[in-house]
Amino acid sequence: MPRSSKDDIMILNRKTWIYILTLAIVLVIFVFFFVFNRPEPYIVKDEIILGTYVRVVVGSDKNPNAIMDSMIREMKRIEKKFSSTITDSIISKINQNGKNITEIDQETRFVIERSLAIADITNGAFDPAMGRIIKLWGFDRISEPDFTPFVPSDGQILQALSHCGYKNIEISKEGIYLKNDVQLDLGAIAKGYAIDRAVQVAKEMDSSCTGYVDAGGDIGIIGPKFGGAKWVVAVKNPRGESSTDFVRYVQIDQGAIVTSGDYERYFEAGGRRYHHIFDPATGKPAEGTISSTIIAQTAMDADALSTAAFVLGPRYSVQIMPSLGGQGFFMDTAEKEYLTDGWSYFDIDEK
Amino acid sequence: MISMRNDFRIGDQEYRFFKKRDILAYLIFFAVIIFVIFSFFGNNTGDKITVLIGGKKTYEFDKNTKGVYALKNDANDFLMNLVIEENGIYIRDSACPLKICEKHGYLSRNFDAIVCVPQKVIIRFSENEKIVEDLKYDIITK
Amino acid sequence: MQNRLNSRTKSHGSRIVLLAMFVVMSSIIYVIEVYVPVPIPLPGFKWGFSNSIVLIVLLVFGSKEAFSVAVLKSFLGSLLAGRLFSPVFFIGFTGGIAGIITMIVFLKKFRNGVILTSIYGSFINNIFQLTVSYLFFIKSEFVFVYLPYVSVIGFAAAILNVYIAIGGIKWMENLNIR
Repeated sequence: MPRSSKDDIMILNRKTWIYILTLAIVLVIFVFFFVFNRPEPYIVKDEIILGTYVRVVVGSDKNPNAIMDSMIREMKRIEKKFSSTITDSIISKINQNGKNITEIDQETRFVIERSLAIADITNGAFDPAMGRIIKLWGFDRISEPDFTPFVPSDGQILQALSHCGYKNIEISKEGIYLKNDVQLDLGAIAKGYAIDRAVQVAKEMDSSCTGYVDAGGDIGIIGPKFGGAKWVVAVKNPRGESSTDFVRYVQIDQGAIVTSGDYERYFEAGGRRYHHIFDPATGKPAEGTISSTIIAQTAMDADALSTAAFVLGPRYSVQIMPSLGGQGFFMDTAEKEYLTDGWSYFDIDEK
Repeated sequence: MISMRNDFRIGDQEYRFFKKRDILAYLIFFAVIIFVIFSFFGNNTGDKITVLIGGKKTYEFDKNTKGVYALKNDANDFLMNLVIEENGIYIRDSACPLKICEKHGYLSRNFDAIVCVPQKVIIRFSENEKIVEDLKYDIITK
Repeated sequence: MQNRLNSRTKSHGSRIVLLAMFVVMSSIIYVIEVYVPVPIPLPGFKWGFSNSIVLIVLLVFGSKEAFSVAVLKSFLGSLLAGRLFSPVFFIGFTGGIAGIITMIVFLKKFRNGVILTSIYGSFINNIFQLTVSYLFFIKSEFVFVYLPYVSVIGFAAAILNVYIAIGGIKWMENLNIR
């Protein structure tokens, strides 16, 4: 069959077809494996640290397992250092020394000074010197296998309360000492600090690291989900029947969110429920609030502020929390919801 | 325009819309779809429950193996009984005084966990080892 | 009458021109489909009407040409839609290749009917798309929950594709392309 020269140019014979197709497929496979075939995006580990269920989620291109191990080691280190029940912890030492000056390192100084600052701005609603009251009620031992519920008498409470109050903590260049026989207890801030440190360790090892640390519902964000999206955090319904009953959904990609509730750590005695957040004014479990959630830049601040807000009550907290650096969501005993003005920025349903 | 006949020609090629030999393939197609629908919307088989004791994966149970299982730690101390029933999974006869794990009630999916802090026991669905993508939320604050 | 189109497919020059036209046509359908809503919130999932052009090529020209058009359609279509080498592209690409191979096997090797060929093409296409997104992108078994839905949608689209293809062939036969 005779062909014109024009047709000859346009002939793509079988070899050319196969060549082009093979090239195309090889190119696709190449790009696929080298660009998209990344390792598992997130690794997850569960542990019990700081007396609570800790879930660490890490995503990194640079050895996520090493980052995970360092984070957990860091949290365990902080648990040992700031626990008031472990006898050789720095807090136990300060408590034993009492009126005598205890030398402290920079880290301890930072944590104590920060708790004193928050105690100051919340007018003592958050108080790091409530050790006597916490020990009297036995909440320092609530995680021990041999814990027995005990409700102290009003006389005992008043006696313990007279040896409480952050104003009795004296901190100077030389170190720290405690007046009036008070006892330090950093339980309401150490967990937040541990979360912050874990997040910091992850970011130091890989600045593009993403994921989060969830310590019993106190959450510190390392970085946005898959590097871009925000994490959706569900706020548990404090009176919900099931553990997956939620009242709010918020989106955050940095900072921390912490909830203090009367439903997580408590014991029952004589048909009444006694939870772990004490009102420094009465020495009894704080009343008027059932749940207080704070979003703040650091888990440490969020932890302390949510405790303070729980004590202060929703009506007051909703006014002052934004000025203290936290946006909050609170529920009172009638299950009425209170939101700070800035909360809607995070809330999915309010948008 | 379009002929209702079963066969048509394009050039020297002859085609048919339907052929007798298709029947088996059609049957396979519908069987696969029905199988898939039932395997997803029937009972969820293959769900596993992980029990971590002291941070170590100690037990793994299938959701469908109903019964009462005693959980023990490395020192062989009895910690609690894990009950797997039709209605759900829960803890009873806990050895610790507060029995918070018993008060938890049924174990739910989606990042829920029954936790006994004194005994360092965590009980949860094995799927929580990954980020679950199909939820409205990623994390719970409580 | 049918032979008019057929005779043109025999000449190498018009063959290339026609195939190029088919690639462009299916690419354009591909791009339009990106913006057509589907009832399933799965990334990259489309109705798959661009496959009707692939089916035309398979019926009029043959296996090799249909395969080429399917591959080139994926490239050109996603290039035009601005998603070349994105995850969605790989999901669609592997699905498209698997689909056309299935169609070739069913039509030319097993000599099945055209409708069954189209149905299986879309079915295998969907299975591959879900598997690739499971293995490399979404990584949650949950994507397979969509398998029944995509199969039913693919089933409807596949039957429509056959009639679109036959209609298209008839229309082109009646045209005097010279």
